[in-house]
Amino acid sequence: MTDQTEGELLARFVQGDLDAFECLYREYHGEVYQWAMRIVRDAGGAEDVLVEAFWRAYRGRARFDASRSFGAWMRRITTNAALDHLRAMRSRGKWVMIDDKIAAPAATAQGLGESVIRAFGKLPPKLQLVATLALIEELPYAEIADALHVPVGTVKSRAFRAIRALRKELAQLGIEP
Amino acid sequence: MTDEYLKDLLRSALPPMSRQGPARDLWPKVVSRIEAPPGWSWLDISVAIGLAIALLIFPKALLLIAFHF
Repeated sequence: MTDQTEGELLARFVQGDLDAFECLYREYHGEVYQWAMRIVRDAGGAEDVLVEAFWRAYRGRARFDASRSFGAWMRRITTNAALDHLRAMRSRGKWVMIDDKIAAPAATAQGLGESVIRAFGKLPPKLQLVATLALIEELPYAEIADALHVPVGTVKSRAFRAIRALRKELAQLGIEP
Repeated sequence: MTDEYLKDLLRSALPPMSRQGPARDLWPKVVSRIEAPPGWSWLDISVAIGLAIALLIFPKALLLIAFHF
């Protein structure tokens, strides 16, 4: 997609043109899905987050500045939708961390791996999100800060708090290597 | 337990996600979500309840509302 074409598309999208929005969807849905997947770690959940994120984007299109990056804007919306998804899962007591089809504990002994997963699932959603992106996916703090629309210092602080909370949870599960 | 060991433990139990796209086309779901009639938000419900209570306490306020129609 050339800059001019994308600029035109974005302008049409802001005016509510659904065809333009579909073109943007086709261009960005893979990126949005992968980002959602990194946070919620479940294929069904990532699909829900994707639909929610694009719906929020369309609903909030008037607030989009067409001179800025649509991808970065979508990433922020997706991050918020994924965070809401984590909160909803937590309130329903259904925290899915491993998609059977995609990921499985690797080098860790099964019991220890399950304890780590359980401890991770008990982290507050905001800490869980930062821990997932910073500690598991190993993304730069600046990238996470941009997606969350918070200062880098806040991300660092949340990562530190996540490690501390995780250590505490593991200690309660009797794991203090 | 050092931070690095904890991170290694975490990454072993929860490996980074592989990069893949959705298994099916989700555009129709996005469209049906966009086209669905908007439901009542918590704010709408709160305002409606507040208005109903206000009318019960101050029934004459109904005349004020009726005046505007």
